[in-house]
Formats: sequence, C-alpha cells, structure tokens
Amino acid sequence: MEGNPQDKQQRQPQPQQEKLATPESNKQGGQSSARGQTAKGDSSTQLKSESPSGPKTFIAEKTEIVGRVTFGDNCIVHPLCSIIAEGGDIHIGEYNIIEEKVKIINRLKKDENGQPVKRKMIIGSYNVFEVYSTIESTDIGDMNEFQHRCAIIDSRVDNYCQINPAVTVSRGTHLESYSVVYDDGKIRKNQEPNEEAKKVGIKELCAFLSEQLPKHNKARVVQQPAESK
Amino acid sequence: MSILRGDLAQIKMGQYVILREDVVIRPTYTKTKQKGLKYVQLSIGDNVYIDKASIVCALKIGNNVHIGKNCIIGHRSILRDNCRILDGSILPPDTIVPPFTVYGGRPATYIGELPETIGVIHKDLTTNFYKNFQGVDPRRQGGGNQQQQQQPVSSSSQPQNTARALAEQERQN
Repeated sequence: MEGNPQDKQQRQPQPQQEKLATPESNKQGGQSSARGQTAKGDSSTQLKSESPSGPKTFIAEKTEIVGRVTFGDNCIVHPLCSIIAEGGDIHIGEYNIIEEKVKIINRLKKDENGQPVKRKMIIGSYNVFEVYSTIESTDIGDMNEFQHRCAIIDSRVDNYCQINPAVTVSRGTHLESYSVVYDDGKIRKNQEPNEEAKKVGIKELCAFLSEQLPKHNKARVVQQPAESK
Repeated sequence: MSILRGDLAQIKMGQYVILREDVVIRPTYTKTKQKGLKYVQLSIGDNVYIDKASIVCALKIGNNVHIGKNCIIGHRSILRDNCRILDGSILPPDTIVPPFTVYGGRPATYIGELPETIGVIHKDLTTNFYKNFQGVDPRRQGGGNQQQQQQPVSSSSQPQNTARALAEQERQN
C-alpha cells in the first residue's frame, strides 16, 4: 500500500482550497472547488474545515484512499480501510467513524454509449461503519449504523437506519428513515429511536478516538484548508 | 492478515492462544459513569482457538474456548470457560455465554451442552496445533530453496567424485 504510486501523488502539495464564511455556503464552496480540481485531472485527499477550532479529523496512514475524497470535521478513519472514488467524488460529513477493512467505493458507471458517467456520492454525518462493511455507490444520510460485515450496493439510505451484522441489502433498495434491516434483507421500523443518546455516544467515541489513535498510529498527510495552517 | 487492535485498549492473552487468518480482535467500549464511553481491556484466557475470518469484540474470553469460522462476537459479550461458538454464528451484543455450552445461529442462541472433559480435549487441540505449526519466514524459505538447489548438485557430484576416486585409484594401481 505504501509503495502505491497514487499515494505518492496524493502527498504532493495541492493548491489550497477556498473557505467561505457560513457552513452551508462553505459546503457549496468546497464542492465547487473540488469540481475545479478534478477538471485538472489530479487525485487528492482533502480535509475540509467548517469550524474555526480546527478539523480534528484523524485519517490513519495505512488507509487506502484513491481519487478525490472530502472529509468533514471530527471524522475517524481507522487503518486498513479503503475509500475508492473511481466514479466521482466522495463527500463524507462530520463525526463519521470508519473502522478497519471497510470498503466505501463509488463505482465507475457507463451510459448506453459506453461513456463514463460522473456521479457524486454523499455520506452524511454521525454514521458508524463497523469492521468489514461494504458500501458501494450508495448515498447515505445521517445517524446510520452499518454493523459488522454488512453490504449495501446501489441503494439509498435515509436517516437513522440500522443494518444488522452480515446482512446484504439487495440492489436498488430505498431505506426510509428509522428502518432496521435484519436477517436477509427483511426491513422493519425502529419503534424506539433514541437519536440524542446515539449522537452523544458517537461524539464521545470520536473525541476519545481522536485523542487515542494518534498516540499509536501515524496520521495520513492530507491537504488542509488555509485557515488551519 | 489478522488485526489485533492493541492501540484502542490493552489486549491480554494467555498461553496457547491460536488466531487463524483474517481474524479481527478489537476491544470494546462501555459506558462508565464518570468518563462516558471508554474502550476497555480485552482479556483472553489459555487454550483459546479462534478460526478464520472471525470478528471478536468481546469483553472477556475464558479458558478453553473455541470460536468457529466467520463468527461475529458482539460488543461487550462475555465468553466463560469451556464454551464453543459454532461456525458462522453472530453473537448479539452484551451476551454472556455460560460454561460448558454450545452457542450457534443468527443470532446465536443456546444449542447444547459440552462434556466435562472438553477442557482436556481442547487443551490437546491447541497444544498440538502450536507444536505442529511451522511459521512462514521469507528468509527461511529462501534458505530452504537454496538447500533444495544444492541437493541435486551434490547428488550429481557424488558419482562424479566416486568416478574420479575410482579413476585415481586405478592410476595409483
């Protein structure tokens, strides 16, 4: 992984990203600048800061990141997971925990004429991806939980969903809010959602991991926005 | 390649613990009253066998435990001494597996009991595996290849030598 030529490309200095005042406009700004850079044809990882206190995002060095991936604040990316943006950019929001061996892939798709179609993949905030889960070309909302060794391909996930361990979600599924996928693709509604407790739990975990992980793991060199330098 | 996440919290292991390929062992977090969520130490006892591609997020694993292939041991679960988890089972979080029991299924439930001698049987299995295990060391492998290459040379040179020796003997005579 370390000898990957793409890694070397990512560590090269990149032009700095613009920063705007409000978070919403900032998001748009980040996306537009991202588009501007992909037009140049270079691949890089970017750390997007929306708070003046600094991003606090930790990305381990042993992660495999290919293509253009944008991270929000307070994300934790454990070593040995792979995020591959071959068919367009991947945007990952705030407070996401991505554990080892997780695969997040934005697959390259072609239209009828065989031309590649660029498609953005957006992952919201407060999501937890546990060990060995696979996410392919799926837009994801907020506060979702992907448990061990689950797989979801070409689908859409709204907010507050939970996918139980070793469950494969069939293609083209639209998971509405508060749904729980169990057994082999059966879906039920979560009757007792407890969003606040979950949110606090994820925040605490992120805070702990962002302190603990840099003690033992090397952080990946990523491009920082202008303010935090 | 197995992963042991010792950076999150300490992992303690006893003797004759066998971890097969692609095993992921990571300590879990629990909620404490003062500090909120915190990762806690994971302790594994003696003579534990964990088969291929299992994910273990347990709090405590006792002695003589057998975990099958492709298992997922949920967060904060406790496996007591002399128990067995069948292949492909998913143990839900916060489960306690009592001693001398078999758990299996999705989610894993009680299936049967184990005999009292399972401790001895299991100890045999793990110690035998340990004694018969041959580690793959690239340097050692290279040395082995060299030896293999040398052997045919030496075997082919031996008759030559004997022939030479015979010829020399004849000359001397």
